[in-house]
Amino acid sequence: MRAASAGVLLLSSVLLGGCALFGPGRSAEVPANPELEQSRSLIEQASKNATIQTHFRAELDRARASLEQALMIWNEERGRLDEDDDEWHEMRHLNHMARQRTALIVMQARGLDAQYALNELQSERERMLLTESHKQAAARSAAANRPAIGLPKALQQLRPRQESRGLVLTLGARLFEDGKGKLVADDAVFDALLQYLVANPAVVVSCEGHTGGGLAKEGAQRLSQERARAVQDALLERGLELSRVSAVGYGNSRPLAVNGDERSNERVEIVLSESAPVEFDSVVGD
Amino acid sequence: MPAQTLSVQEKINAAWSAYHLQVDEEADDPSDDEAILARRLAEEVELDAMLLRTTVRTLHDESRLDGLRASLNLPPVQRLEVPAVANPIGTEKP
Repeated sequence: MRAASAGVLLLSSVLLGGCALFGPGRSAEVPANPELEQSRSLIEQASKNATIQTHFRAELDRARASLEQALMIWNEERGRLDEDDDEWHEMRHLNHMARQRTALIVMQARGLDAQYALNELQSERERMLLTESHKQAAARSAAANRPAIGLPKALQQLRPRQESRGLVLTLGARLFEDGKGKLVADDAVFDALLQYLVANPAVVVSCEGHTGGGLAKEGAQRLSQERARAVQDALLERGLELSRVSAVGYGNSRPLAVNGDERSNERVEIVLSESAPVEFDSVVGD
Repeated sequence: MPAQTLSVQEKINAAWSAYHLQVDEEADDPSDDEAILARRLAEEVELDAMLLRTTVRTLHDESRLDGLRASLNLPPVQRLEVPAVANPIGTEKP
């Protein structure tokens, strides 16, 4: 009997559709049920949400159907129901299902909205961080390539670069006799270097010799030391104090390019810094 | 969400009690009072538990979103609210 009654209610609600909810289905004499009205209001509010309209339309229809059935019971009994009536409990149950289904839809839609927004913001944030990172890298690169302030023009051709150990100038292999330690005279460079050092008395010089990989280890070490000392001598001959200039040979242990041009690895690097220079005797010796 | 969790737990207990009553009374017919009560509570507790789980997940995501928006100096988001349920236990007898 009860099952048949529920079936009739369901059929009625389907036939009447939204009339019970939003049309003139409720008679004027039937008092409003606050709980059912609250559920109706919640469903109406939810139905206006764009995410729910797009993704949860079927679920909302299901919630609406439950409420329609609850309203049917209430209207059929003309609001004269209390806790002793079976219909009252069925109405409460249907209303609870309608309300909780709607609440579930709302929370699912909010969750979906939050996920979309999170994904968008995280992507935007990553783009911003990437842009900032690129800007910082570009600024570092520009700073590294910027000519040192106060560096004479003749020294700019020595590819000055700023490193943590100081300002590095590079004398290429062409400034030395081929395979030997003797410096080919380039007065303009050394005169300019001395001029710079005189103007900056706190600056000290470290001359670091390097060779290519074509030589044996001992030969490379000797050649790099000779070239470093040749550069040191050029500065000493111009009057620079020994305490401000050191020389060290690294052989072929620190190539610029591992598989690159061996000739480019042959060089003397002049490191200008404000730290104490490497002790001459302890490094080069005779 | 302790209050919501507690109400779901209470309803689970009620649903189990109703089910045991149905078994004890051998109420096999779906139209029996005990069967109706057990069915209603089972339906409600399933939905209530699903709502609780979804709410927790959603609030977690929204909290992350709010934090991210605040870090980017974006205004808070307006959301569709769900009023508190007056009687989460629902029906207690058929």
